[in-house]
Amino acid sequence: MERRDFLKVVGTGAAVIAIKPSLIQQQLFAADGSLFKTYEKVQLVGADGAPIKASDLKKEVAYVFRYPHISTPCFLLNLPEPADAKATLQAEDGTEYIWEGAVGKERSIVAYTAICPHQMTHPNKNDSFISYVRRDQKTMAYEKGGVIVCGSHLSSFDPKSGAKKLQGPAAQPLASIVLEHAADDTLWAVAVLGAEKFHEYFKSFKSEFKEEFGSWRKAKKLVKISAPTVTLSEYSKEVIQY
Amino acid sequence: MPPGVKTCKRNDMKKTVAILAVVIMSASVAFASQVGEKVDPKHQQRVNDMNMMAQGFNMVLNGFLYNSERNVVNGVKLIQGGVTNIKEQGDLKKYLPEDTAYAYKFGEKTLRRIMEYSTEVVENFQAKDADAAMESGMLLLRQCNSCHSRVRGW
Repeated sequence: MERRDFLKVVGTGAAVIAIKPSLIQQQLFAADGSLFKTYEKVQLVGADGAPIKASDLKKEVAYVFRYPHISTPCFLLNLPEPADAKATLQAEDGTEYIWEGAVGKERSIVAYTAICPHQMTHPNKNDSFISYVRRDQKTMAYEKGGVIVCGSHLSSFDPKSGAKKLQGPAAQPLASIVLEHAADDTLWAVAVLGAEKFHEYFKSFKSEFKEEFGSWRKAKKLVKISAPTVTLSEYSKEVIQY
Repeated sequence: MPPGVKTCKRNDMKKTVAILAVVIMSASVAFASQVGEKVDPKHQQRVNDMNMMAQGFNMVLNGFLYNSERNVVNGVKLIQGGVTNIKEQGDLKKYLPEDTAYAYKFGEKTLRRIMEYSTEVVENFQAKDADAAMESGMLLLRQCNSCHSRVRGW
């Protein structure tokens, strides 16, 4: 490559990145052990396309949106009380990372991938074996409610504390979706924190993805601009809790 | 040795063998009747269905090892035959052991996944994609283990 061509490539690349910084997608293993991957900043919107306002989220209702891929469901929760300010979590391979709390006026809004790290249980249009169990509900997976439960093998996760595993066979927390709460009360998904298992997830449900997206490879497409957000009971015909 | 002694030993041996045979047969009959009394037909049906599926999975593995499409196809037929048998029993809640009957929806989902993955095994094998076929085979096995760990508690 000639010097002039090289400069053109570098210049074009710099211009593209300046226009759209989210094009730089990288997995960062920071010195403090954090495990963090940025994706395109996406606004959470209702089924009608109108932006979701943090103050409109009902307490203890599980909402679902897809992020960062068009096939990866995530939970959005407005907890009944402020979440922990910080939690030190550990991925399956022993890597430690820091989850830095919730967003919203009350610091009670959190988001996590709705894919159980044990065997990839996730909500689909027919059913969901993974769900949020309200504080006034009982579950076989933990001594009390207010937890996220995977009904497949009864793993439970603490949404107040970065979806840390409480009980069950899951070997790590649910990966977190990093949210931004804008001044106009809108919510944005910007990154994934923790050891997500998207690769295994994509490999495990090819038939399901083929049915919904035409091909399982298309299921890997990244979400752009906005992510429609609905309640779990709207997302899945049946929610099964144990 | 005098001929009488030899005859006597033969007779003793015959007696011993006869006695042993009677004891063994009696014990077998007694044990069989005990087993017959205790076996729950539902349990026996489950054992038969699971054996059929396990046999099918062994055939699939054999097909992978020896590159035998016939074994893979026939193995999957057995596995799917087992799933069909289970579905034909009707209500899965009644099919499962009483203490885990509540997890019948999980069981139904597992059966659906077993059908999916076993179909993928054949499709991938017939498409000469051995790696994908084995991957589907492992996902299939994981479904079996997934249900056993929940329903059988291990």
